[in-house]
Amino acid sequence: MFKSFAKPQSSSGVLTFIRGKRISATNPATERIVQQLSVLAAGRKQPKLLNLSNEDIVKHRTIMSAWKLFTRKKKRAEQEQLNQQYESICNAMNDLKETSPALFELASHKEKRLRFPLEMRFPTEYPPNRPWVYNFTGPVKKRK
Amino acid sequence: MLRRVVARGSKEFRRSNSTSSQKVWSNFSKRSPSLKLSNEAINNNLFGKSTDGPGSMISHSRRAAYHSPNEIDSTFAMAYEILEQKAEDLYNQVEKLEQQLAQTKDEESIKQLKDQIDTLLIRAEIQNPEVMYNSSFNDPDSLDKTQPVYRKALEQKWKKYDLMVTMQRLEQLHVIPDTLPTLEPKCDVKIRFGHNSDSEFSHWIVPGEMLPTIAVSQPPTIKIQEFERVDGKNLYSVLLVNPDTPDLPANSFSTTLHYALANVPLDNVDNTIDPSKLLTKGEEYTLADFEPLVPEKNTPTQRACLWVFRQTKPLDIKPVARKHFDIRTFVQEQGLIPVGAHVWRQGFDRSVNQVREMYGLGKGRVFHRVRGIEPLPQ
Repeated sequence: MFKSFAKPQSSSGVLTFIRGKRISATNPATERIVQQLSVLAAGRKQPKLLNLSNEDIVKHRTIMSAWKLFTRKKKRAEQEQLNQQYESICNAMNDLKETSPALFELASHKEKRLRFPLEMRFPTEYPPNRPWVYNFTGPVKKRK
Repeated sequence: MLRRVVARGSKEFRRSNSTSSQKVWSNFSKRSPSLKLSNEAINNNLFGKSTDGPGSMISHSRRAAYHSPNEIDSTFAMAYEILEQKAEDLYNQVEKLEQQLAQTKDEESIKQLKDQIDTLLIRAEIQNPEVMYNSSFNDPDSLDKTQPVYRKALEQKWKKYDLMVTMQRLEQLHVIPDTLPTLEPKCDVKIRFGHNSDSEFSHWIVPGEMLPTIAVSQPPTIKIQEFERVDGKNLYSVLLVNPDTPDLPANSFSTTLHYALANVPLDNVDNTIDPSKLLTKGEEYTLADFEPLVPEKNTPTQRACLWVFRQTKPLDIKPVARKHFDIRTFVQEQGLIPVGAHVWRQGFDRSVNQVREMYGLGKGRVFHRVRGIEPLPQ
């Protein structure tokens, strides 16, 4: 009934839109599947409803609530650890401030303009997708 | 099938094996036996003690054709252990609070402690598979209402459907604010007219239903289900009013009282006002005898509004004038707290004259089909 829009054709690098031109599926196998699906009613294409017995519904709910409890406990422990780490950072910095103010200045110095240096990475559980950046050049230092 | 048997053989989960150190959900020495799943077949399937398929399926062929999800039993066993551990911690907290409760004398703090214990008990039991099965698949009338967890489950169910229907009908039919300004629903109010032999009218009435006069000619059975804990007994009163009685001098409508009960002691379990109670103690409770609505010919549909109140003090049982009944003043004077309501509707039908005769109300009037304009309604 409705013609699908023609894809932009790029010949010699220039995009041209052809409005109203019907495109056939390139692959005949795909075309057949599309045709088969088009004659099926929408209800038939839905995944089948899980028909659980009453006992299994109760078991399922129990499993889900136990899993929720388990993950909640784990998250809470992680958060607790992070809090402790942050607190110990604060303590160390306070100590440093008292013992050596010069070092404290250096340690807590905020570099302006320079945001998210590549060499600094947030600690994660897994290595990054690109482990090594080959064409990396360090931050440009201004001449004094 | 083979797969199932093999899987069960190795990782079979037997709760009853751990009798030496009985855990909290299988220990019924302190907990009520109503928290148990009484059906043996279902219980066996739930805890993996039998291989004949789900006991809730009665048909043998359906049971044979049914396949549980893979590994559900072993996963369930692990989940059960985790949740039971949590319940055990909660029960330990309850024990501490109970020791505190035994030492306190102040009434206010006793109530607070009891509330805390109830919330802990709900949290400890609501994830118990047996309790979950009972509250979701068993008959709600058979649940033990002394248990806070079952009351909680019933309340959730009520809020999901029945409460919404009731409030919708009360607002659409303008029971609110034609009789009382508003309602903060606290308990489930259900009514049925038990004298009906016709199955069409003997069920629990859905709020707002149109009923023939003969079907409501006897006093209804009223079920008032409280979800909060009731210590001892609360006193309740019930008023049935009709705000659509024709008032000819004013060319308007007035409110009439059709039924009034007061000082009815009820609690979580004993929650119905039924004919047997009224036969034995009816005189103590009745302010105004039941008189059904008898709409006259050509009057608009009339609403029978039933209000349920919690009492702050016992009422004096003395006769109340039925005509031009001012429900708002009455409620304010007697210190009644509206906690639930119900409504049904009636129109003129062929059983009206028979019911009028039964109650000695004389012959009804016949109005003109078109309402006049003299005097102009205010």
